[in-house]
Amino acid sequence: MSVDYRAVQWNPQKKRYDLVLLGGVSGYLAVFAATGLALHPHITIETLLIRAFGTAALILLHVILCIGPLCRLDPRFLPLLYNRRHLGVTMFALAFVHATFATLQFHALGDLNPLVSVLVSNPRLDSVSQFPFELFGAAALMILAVLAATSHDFWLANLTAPVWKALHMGVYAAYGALILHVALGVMQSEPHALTAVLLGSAATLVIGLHLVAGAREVGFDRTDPGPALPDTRRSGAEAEGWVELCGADEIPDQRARIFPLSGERIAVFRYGGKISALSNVCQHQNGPLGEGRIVDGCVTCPWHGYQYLPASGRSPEPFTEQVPTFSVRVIAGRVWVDPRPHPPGTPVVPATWDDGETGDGVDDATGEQRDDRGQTGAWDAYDA
Amino acid sequence: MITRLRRNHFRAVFFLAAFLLAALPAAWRAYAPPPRSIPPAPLRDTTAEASEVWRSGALFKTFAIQTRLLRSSERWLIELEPREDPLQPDVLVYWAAGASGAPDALPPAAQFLGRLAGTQVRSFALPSGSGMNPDGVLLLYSLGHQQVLDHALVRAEAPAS
Repeated sequence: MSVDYRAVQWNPQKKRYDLVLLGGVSGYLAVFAATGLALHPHITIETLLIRAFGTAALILLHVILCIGPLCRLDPRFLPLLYNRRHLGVTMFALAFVHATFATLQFHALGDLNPLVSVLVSNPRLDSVSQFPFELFGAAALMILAVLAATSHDFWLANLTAPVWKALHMGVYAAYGALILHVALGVMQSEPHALTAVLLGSAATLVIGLHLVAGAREVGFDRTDPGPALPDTRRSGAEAEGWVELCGADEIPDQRARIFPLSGERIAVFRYGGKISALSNVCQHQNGPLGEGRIVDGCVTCPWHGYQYLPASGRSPEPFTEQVPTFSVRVIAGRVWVDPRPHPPGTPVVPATWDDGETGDGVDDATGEQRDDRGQTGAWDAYDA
Repeated sequence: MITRLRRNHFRAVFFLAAFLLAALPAAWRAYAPPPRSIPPAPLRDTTAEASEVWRSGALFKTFAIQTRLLRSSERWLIELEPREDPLQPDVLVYWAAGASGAPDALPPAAQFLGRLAGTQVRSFALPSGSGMNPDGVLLLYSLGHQQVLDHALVRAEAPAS
């Protein structure tokens, strides 16, 4: 995280990531070129480059699309997510080289502008097998160009994460167009059953992983009890609309449990004898804060390491990110949360609980340990 | 907001799955193999009437091309059948009448016959100036690379195999 915009905020992790990426792409291109030359000694260098860069971009796009659901299914894949945007920009660069050489080789020798030629040289729009597959590739390339150009944190911060993420869901349109580009293009030149099997398997893998991970997430959100309203027929916290979530001892120390509540997710953290609840949504890229842990006293997002103080939802200075907070109580060892969020960055008294280890909390069996909504004085002590 | 985005994400992938599930098999079923031979219409009858003088699979040095010399009552014909895709985007066929050497560049007097396309069989009528003696050199030339890709010496007599 950074308080100003830089082209790339380099750190050792990003350098390692990009070195592996560069090595992988270079190695693939070299192996493809060597194999291509061995199998087809008379192939032109342009044809070789078109095929090498095109297949590299396609494979990399599949890797990129698999990372998201894999991280939802198994956190061991999270290191791949950390610098995924560099994968995306690299993939666009590979696709751009592929498109450039293809345009030069197949459309630059006539008396028509090569770009116009790409669009009009094949008029068989009425045929499936002879359809101008280049149009799908051009459409995908334009979408990928927009995504690559807006991949920087500058756009993320100024568009806001939800808008940015919605925009970048355009990658699925690009993916669909690319699959058709490849399928129709291959069919018009050298159709082979193996190609169809590989392409079908890759698409099945990407979509299958997304559907499995997505179904799990949707299923989790469906456990949301819905908006809790004050109920005068009940007593205590329940009467005020609070929701009982879990036992305090069911939250691992320095970590959180995530609950769907009132249409969103909240992360309830336990750190020592204190319990705080924040929005589960990191302000940076909407990563799942509750899947992170507390590092140096701060809730740390597992995606890119953005940090927030658990009692206030504010990033430590000089950073300015803020997330909504929630009021928490511990009653008879059970965690209760008011599902109505405080504005982002609002300090809230952490609930205290005697975890039997730190001895610095109060087992609030009577419900006396509570915060007062709106009373934010003297909270800097928690933030410090 | 993020929950709604997550649902939209799921719907987008679901739609993509349904779309590809329908589109890919439809595209595969619609596949029609390209014709192996599309002789130009004016030549078709001439080729049918022509008789083979010789055929050779080793006339060209670089590309594996089955070559036939045909003779009709009026002209000489050359038929080229690439055994494998040359993997070149613009294989143009030229005829240099009377030439006998291996040209490094396209001779100024070379005449354009047509082009090769993948492994399709192509027939070309040699220019009428060839008369009774079809001596010359067939050149495969790339306009994009400005380069002679391959050449073949053509004589009326069958080449040594």
